[in-house]
Amino acid sequence: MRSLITIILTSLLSLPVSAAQVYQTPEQFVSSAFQGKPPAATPLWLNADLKATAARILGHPPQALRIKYWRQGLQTAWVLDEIGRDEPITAGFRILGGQLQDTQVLIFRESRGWEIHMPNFTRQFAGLTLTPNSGLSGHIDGITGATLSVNAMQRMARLALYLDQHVRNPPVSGP
Amino acid sequence: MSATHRLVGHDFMRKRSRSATHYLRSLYSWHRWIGVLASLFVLLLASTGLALNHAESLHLNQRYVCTAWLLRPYGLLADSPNLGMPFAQAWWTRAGGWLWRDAQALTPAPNGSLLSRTAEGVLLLEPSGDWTLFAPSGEVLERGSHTPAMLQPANSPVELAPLPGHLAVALSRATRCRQITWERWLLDLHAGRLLGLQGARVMDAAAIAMIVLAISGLLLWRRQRRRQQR
Repeated sequence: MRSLITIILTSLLSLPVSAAQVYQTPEQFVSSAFQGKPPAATPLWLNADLKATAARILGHPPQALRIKYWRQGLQTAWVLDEIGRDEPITAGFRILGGQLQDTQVLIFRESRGWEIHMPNFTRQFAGLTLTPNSGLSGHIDGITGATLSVNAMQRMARLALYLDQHVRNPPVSGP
Repeated sequence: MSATHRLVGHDFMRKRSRSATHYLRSLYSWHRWIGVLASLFVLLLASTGLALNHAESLHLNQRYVCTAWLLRPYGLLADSPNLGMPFAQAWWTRAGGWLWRDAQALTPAPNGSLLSRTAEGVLLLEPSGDWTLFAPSGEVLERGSHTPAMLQPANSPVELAPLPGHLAVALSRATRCRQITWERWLLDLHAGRLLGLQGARVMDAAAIAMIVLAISGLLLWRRQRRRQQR
């Protein structure tokens, strides 16, 4: 009887979600990242080099000419979108000194894979940095049935770390 | 055993052998004719299935069917927009579920999306709260979600004006070519839905025929194997 209830509950939990799930708005994420006093947003224009590296990380050209970020000292916050299977996933990343501190799924629009918003998945990103070849410094355990969403989160985390590196240590242009 | 018994036994075995041969011939015949009839469906299902398995790498979900007779089963009506928003020497129009800059499709624009001008370009605000800011050139400046407060649309109301005749005609055709993807069309062909409910039933019958083929084929193979072993 207990196993039957478990099976039914598990099946109900794995039913596809139809509407967009807003776990946190981007404003709420940015506000909480800076203890309620977020700085003004700064646009980062993607030049040719940034576009090329972003395209390599994402596996496709970036979808916009600029990306907004928030910065206070060594800390930056990013709100990015990336398509999982068919719909974009909106995620927030708080980075301090080049290390991921906080990773949150803000808005999830897919019908499957919503498990990525759970803390036991997003916690894996804490403390990760960017490797020299633009990878993540640690392994992320996937979730069965959410592979595309997991991959999208990893791509966004890598991009956030790369852009953070760029804004804190911009390349020096020649004379 | 008496001679009579031997005769009866022999007769019985001959009749049994004739019956088995007749059964085998019937099975072959059925297998052959069902196979011939089903072969066309096998070709259709295999080729559409193969294409659908590689839909992503072939970008079938990003390419649209534009040929009139292929779209006929859908009974689609072309969207005939006649009003647009003039901005930065181009016409911005929402038609057929898309945002257009002149005759170039920019991005899907679901029903209920709002267009407005801002200091930097054109803002498309979707009913979900997702927004896209376009530069006057049509490039995407920025995308976001649930952040209308971060963007200050211009207070001036959007002024729509009648589209130039040639653009209206071009858009009418273009909107038809942005409704059904090749992936969708192949899925409907694979399932027989292009011919409606009857088409789906024909595909069901084809599927049953293939099941019968598989079973009859196995039975024939088993019989043949037994004969070879004798």
